[in-house]
Amino acid sequence: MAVNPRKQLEQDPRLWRASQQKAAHIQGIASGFEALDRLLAASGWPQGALIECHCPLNGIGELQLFAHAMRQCTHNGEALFWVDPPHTPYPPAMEGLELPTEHCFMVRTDSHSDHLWALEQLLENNASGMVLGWSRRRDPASLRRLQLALEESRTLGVIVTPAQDAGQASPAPLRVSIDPIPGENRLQVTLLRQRGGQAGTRTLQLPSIISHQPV
Amino acid sequence: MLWFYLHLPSLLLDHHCRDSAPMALCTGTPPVILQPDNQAQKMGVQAGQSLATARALSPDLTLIAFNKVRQTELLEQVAEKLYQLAAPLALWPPDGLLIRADRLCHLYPEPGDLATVLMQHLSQLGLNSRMATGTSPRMARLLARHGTSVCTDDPETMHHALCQLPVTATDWPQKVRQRLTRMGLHHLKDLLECCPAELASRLGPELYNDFQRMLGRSSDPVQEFHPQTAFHRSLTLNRESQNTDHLQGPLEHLLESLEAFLRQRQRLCDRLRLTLHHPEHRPTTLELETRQGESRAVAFLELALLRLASLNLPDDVQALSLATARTIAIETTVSHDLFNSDESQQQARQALLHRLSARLGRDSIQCPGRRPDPRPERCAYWQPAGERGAHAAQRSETTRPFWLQHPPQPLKRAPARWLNGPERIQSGWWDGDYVRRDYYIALLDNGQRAWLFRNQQSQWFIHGWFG
Repeated sequence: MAVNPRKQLEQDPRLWRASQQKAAHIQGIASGFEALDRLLAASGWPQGALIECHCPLNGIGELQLFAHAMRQCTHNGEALFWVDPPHTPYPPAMEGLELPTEHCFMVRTDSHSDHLWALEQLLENNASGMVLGWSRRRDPASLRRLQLALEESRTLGVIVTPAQDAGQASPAPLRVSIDPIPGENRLQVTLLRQRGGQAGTRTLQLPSIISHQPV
Repeated sequence: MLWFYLHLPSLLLDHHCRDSAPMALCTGTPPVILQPDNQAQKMGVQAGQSLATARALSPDLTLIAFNKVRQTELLEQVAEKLYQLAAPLALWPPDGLLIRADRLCHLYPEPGDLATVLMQHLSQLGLNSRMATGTSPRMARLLARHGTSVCTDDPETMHHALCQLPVTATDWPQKVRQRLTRMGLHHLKDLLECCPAELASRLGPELYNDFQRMLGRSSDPVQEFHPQTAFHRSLTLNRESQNTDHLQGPLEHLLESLEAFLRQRQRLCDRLRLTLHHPEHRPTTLELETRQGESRAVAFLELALLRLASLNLPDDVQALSLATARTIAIETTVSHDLFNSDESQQQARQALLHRLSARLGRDSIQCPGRRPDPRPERCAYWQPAGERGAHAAQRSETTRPFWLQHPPQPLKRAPARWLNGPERIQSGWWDGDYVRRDYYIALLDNGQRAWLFRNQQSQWFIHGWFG
């Protein structure tokens, strides 16, 4: 019996179809940097798709990337969650970023399993507008779980992970790596991978917010 | 006045009766059968038999120890359920309820209507019952207990029915009843024919008074029953277990009765205390909180299971008890509008916060607060979410770092580039924590943007990072 070659082809699991593309309905929240928005497929940070952000150090301006999204989300009356941040967020700075404090919450967990559980709860719930989580340990299986939780909602989810893991595989649809440029008040942003957008590496230079006022 | 008495002859047995095995109540030392159920009776088990005899007659007899406290609890539960149908009512321990039927004549024109409704509800609860009316509480009780189902509002009929009762139907002492029977006074009507003075001397003042009350000739105050305002119920597990999955069923049962309790009273509960009793350890107490109050069993169950999952039980659990710490009235002004998305968003957020704090602990979810203090480390704090204090919103014009380093770190190497500064902060002379610092913003050589300060001793510290 002759096998229909088309049928055989359709059943091949290696075949990727454009109809499987989920990025079509994904909405984006502007990052506040025009150059970056132009590069991002959703014209901003995508909602309902996990963003993995590799960050070598804290305090290099990494939050500036998401400051505009945080502002938008809280101004819409949605809740903003920080899960296990490396330091305590400082409320006066939040006022400086114009984040209404009644929509800001910090979640502290004691164990890795609680950390993942809290992230999963937050990501899959539409009541949380934006979630920023700092994971000290990263394993692709749990990131996959988080991505699946996030797909059901329209939350903006960002997981900040150590930079040395940037070489590992990741289920996150959007991977960003950020690097400081020593001595300069600028930040280099690299999109390592982007679903529905340009693959490969791009480098962006972002201006920083602190006014240049030499001493 | 018209009274309606409800006699529940086998309250404890009916409560325990779930399957087809014969059952009996036992009591005393040495234990004897107190009350067999129908099946056991058919097999020949009778009240007063020793356990050995009963077991010989019916090998698979289930024995339940009579518990007076439990019986009263059950009676109260029945009263609470019937309170909605027929009030005012009064408890008559150990096995009766008294309803004042003349006050219910608007709802139930005929006593028979009331009886039908009550009968329906009691059969739903699986309880055997007998009822009767009377012109006095004691008359109704006696008739119901004796099984004379008089259900009328005609005083003559009731009086007649009472007169027909044998003297042995009363709960007077055995000796008195025997004496009366020997005298040829077999029925209550025979007593009525006696001369009152003679009867009083034969019965004694107490029993004579009881008799007068029975006939409705002297007053008989009744204490009205009111449902409890706080919920407290406990449940003994059939099997002790440390596995929290096994607790789910009983817990659900308790929460459902809580839901019924709250719904009856049109109230919500925002703090609930669940106690797990262990055989040898001190009981574990869990506080379940919801911000805006909740009545649904499903919502409480979810919170409780999350708490239980994060808990290490020291020992097996043998009993559960549930109590409301606080209830609040349902606000009628809360509108559940289809388009009121703001409201539902708030509710969804509260539900999320409660779910998180149920597993992670109350202090794990924090929200920011502000204090009017110029010192950077004192002007802001994080507090558990939910106790939102009045936050004095101050717009600080100056740039502040997003991450505060606490305590400040000494600066090891000179920064690569200075961006901003100095800003002097000098304060705290009034409380002994005096600070005088000059703050700068600088780029460190690894790319970090730091908030630095120099103290009075010209020592440099990192006090924060610009994230």
